[in-house]
Amino acid sequence: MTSPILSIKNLAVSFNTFEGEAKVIDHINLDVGEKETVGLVGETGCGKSVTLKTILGILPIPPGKVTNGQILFGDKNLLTLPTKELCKLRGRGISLIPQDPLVSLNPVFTIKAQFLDLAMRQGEEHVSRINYYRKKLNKKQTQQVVKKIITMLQKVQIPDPERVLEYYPYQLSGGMAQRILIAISLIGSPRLLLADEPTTALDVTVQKQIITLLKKIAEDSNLSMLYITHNLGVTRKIAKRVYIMYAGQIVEMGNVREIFNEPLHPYTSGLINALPKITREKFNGIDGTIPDYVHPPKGCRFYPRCPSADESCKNQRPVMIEVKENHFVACRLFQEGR
Amino acid sequence: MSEVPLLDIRNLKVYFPIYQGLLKKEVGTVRAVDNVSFNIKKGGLFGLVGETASGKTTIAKTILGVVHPTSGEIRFKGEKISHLNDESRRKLTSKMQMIHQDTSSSLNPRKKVGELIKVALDIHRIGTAVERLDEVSRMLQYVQLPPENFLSKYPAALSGGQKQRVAIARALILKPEVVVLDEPTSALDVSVQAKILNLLTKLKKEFNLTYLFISHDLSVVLNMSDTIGVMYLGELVEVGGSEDILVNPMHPYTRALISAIPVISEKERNILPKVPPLRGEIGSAINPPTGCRFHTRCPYAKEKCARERPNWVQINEKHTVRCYLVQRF
Amino acid sequence: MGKTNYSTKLISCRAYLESFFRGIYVIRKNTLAIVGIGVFLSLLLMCIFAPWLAPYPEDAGDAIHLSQSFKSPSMLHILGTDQMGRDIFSRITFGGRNTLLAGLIIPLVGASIGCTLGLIAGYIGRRIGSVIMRTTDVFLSIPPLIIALLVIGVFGPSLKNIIFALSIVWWPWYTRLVHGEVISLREETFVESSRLLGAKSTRTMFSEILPNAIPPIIVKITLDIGYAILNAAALGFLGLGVLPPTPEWGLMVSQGRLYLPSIWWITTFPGIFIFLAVFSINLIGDGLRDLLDVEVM
Repeated sequence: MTSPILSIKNLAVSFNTFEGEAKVIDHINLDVGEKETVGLVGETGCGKSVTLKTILGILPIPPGKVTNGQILFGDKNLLTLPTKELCKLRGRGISLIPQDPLVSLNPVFTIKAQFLDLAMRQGEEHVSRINYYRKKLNKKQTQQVVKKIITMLQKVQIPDPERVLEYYPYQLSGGMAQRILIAISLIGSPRLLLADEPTTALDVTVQKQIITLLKKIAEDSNLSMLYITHNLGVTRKIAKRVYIMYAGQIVEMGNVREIFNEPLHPYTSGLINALPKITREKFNGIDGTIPDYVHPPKGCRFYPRCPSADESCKNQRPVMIEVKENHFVACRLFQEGR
Repeated sequence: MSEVPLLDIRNLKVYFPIYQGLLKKEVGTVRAVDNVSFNIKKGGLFGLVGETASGKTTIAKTILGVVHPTSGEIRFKGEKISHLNDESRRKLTSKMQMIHQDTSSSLNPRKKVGELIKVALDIHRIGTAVERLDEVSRMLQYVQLPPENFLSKYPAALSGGQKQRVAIARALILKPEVVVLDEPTSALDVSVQAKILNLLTKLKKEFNLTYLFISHDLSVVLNMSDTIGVMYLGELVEVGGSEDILVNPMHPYTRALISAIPVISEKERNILPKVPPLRGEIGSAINPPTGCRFHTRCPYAKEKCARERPNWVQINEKHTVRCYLVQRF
Repeated sequence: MGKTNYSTKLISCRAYLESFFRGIYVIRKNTLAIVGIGVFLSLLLMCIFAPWLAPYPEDAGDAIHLSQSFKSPSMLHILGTDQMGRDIFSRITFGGRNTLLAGLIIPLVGASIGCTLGLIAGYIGRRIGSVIMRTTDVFLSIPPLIIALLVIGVFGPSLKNIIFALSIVWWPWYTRLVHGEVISLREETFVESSRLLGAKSTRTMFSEILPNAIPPIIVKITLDIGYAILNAAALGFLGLGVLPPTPEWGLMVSQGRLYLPSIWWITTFPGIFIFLAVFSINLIGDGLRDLLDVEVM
């Protein structure tokens, strides 16, 4: 593997709450390679969004705090980077495709206004009023940017981009809004895209269109992408490699097809069994609920819900081991078997 | 017909007028549901599938009397229920219940689980205070929530799945005959969704229920229902047994829906029909397309589709479809 | 059965305790609210125990000691004496009873009238709603003190009449607030579910909607206690409130103003107490806002 563009090393994040310290992210490791699309799959409350916020440096501190680890983007550690530097990276180095397209656009400005602001202010932590209007009133510069925006909109396959630019967000359908947000995230020509469940709010037929589009864009512009979702099927369509996350820990990592055809971790196989399949096989959920983060199980965090758990799982934390080539799993079952 | 269907919906139309301006002038209508007919036999499970804004929820609300139909009728056990007054409607509530999609707002955040469920009995004055409490505990056991742990919890302390279980217990405590499930699991995680779906199947047998299952997720509906109706922009486009719909989908929209299911195994992928991707997105119900409403997105649309609305074509006893394409087969 | 009841009670007891401690946690984060509670409680206690605290209880009435008049604060009279030679501290402790009573009763009466009307207007809507809301608008468009002056003019000045007068100018704000809350709550799914279960509108209104509209009402009541005290004091200052020699903070300020600025203590100390009461109540209101927000989450 080439050196990764994003590398999360031993990251631990916790929150101070009334009950005590909630250890929400528990020492995770995650790599996104150059030009690679990686899936991060997990259910509600498993820490996906916290991971994402930590990467972008928008975790609310306090109550949150990073207790351990590094997030390397290239050779820079995002956790220790000064805000000024971080602002330069946001949008240009790393950019985000948010989850809910219609809520993510400001309803009182036209698409054009929002695009222009972003395109012109990107990379600066603070723009003075004077500079802002100077830039905005510079017709020549503005026209250039608009031209760039229009090519961007064509890239995300929006019909009639000139007209769409004059629209207000309420005039857009969900799919259109998501395309525009993708275009906005691409305007600073980033190297890494963070996609936060970009298709969850959309209908399946539109979801299919957006996934195809994202795949094409990633290929065309040599982007790396971290695709965060709870939908296994979508992950299979878009990513090559996938991390399965449970209760703030990475439990399994490997090639998408391999994991979905032969899941090793009991949680992964539980998830796959829970999906209603069109072959109309029986499906079954996983008992119990996600553990309490203030007093998580001492050993494997999945232990209380695991059908194949035994005493040793209770106290010993499993480590990630490579079971097959590039297929890692954190489970005692496979440590003993070897 | 030998048997009177439990729930019979005939030519149902629900239009909402749009008012604008100071004088509240009517400027148009939203044709949320347009000429929909289907029926559900006792003990049946009818699945209604469609994308956002296809009118599924409006149908559910019309059946339950929250929304009044513009025309057409709804019959329950052969009796017309679509134009009842409030008092007769209230009597019907114990026969028909609904489970909402949004687990977080369907339970009053300021009431404890016990009160939330008991309220149904209070309203209909069933049993004494002690009997009511017993019944609540029994219902909680049915939905697999130990009453001693849950009776005095507030909804905020429950997970999404637990909230939905409470909602189910509350709906079933009145021993209804028909339950309308409006996307009961779309706000839940898959591992929880499976649990809830299996619970619903189990309860259906135990309480001898009839379900109208509404969802945008075809893979769920295919697994749950015996009959499926596919809706597009306020109209039904295809109705059939779930086997027919899966193996032999006739309408191009049904095919597109099935092919867009994000599946995970090779085996499933082989079943999926191979179809060209759809153009665009679902239109608006304010000025729906003429003719077949799907023609603007249909990869096979002909000129005729834009002009005239196709009629129903019977494929087999249960399977009917509304598309010109089929007539050529 | 008895056993289950017992255990259920235990559990609910535990739940209450937990929410109580959670409340303390939230409040503790808010130091200012703690200060507010502390100050307001001590004021309340001071007024309740006035007969024991006051060094010269008889001064609260119409006692006259002309030899003692206009004494500046000293060990004998810690806050000095007024023109009649009455001990100011004693009068403050007794006067607070009237001032705080007015401050507590006015918003409560106003809120109960206003909330009921707002609830009806918001939930039933249509014509009744319009009538209620337009009446409210009319009341809101007239300065409240003018109406209050009118009422007192008709019925004559006394503590009871102040409370009555201010209560009837106070309700429109609550109607507005509750009306807005109800309109947004009416669309919630749980309100629809309640109707689907067959509940009648009165049940839906009082048992589903009202409990959810209560937090903003409580916050507004606490904040209004401050305003009510100020308004009662203002009426007292105008001589339309409590009649002398009954002590009342606003009246005390008003009577002392003739001797300003040289004899400053007659006005300043009651003024400080009015300020303390209003300020502490406002701090409590802010704290409550945080507390009640958390509970809904």
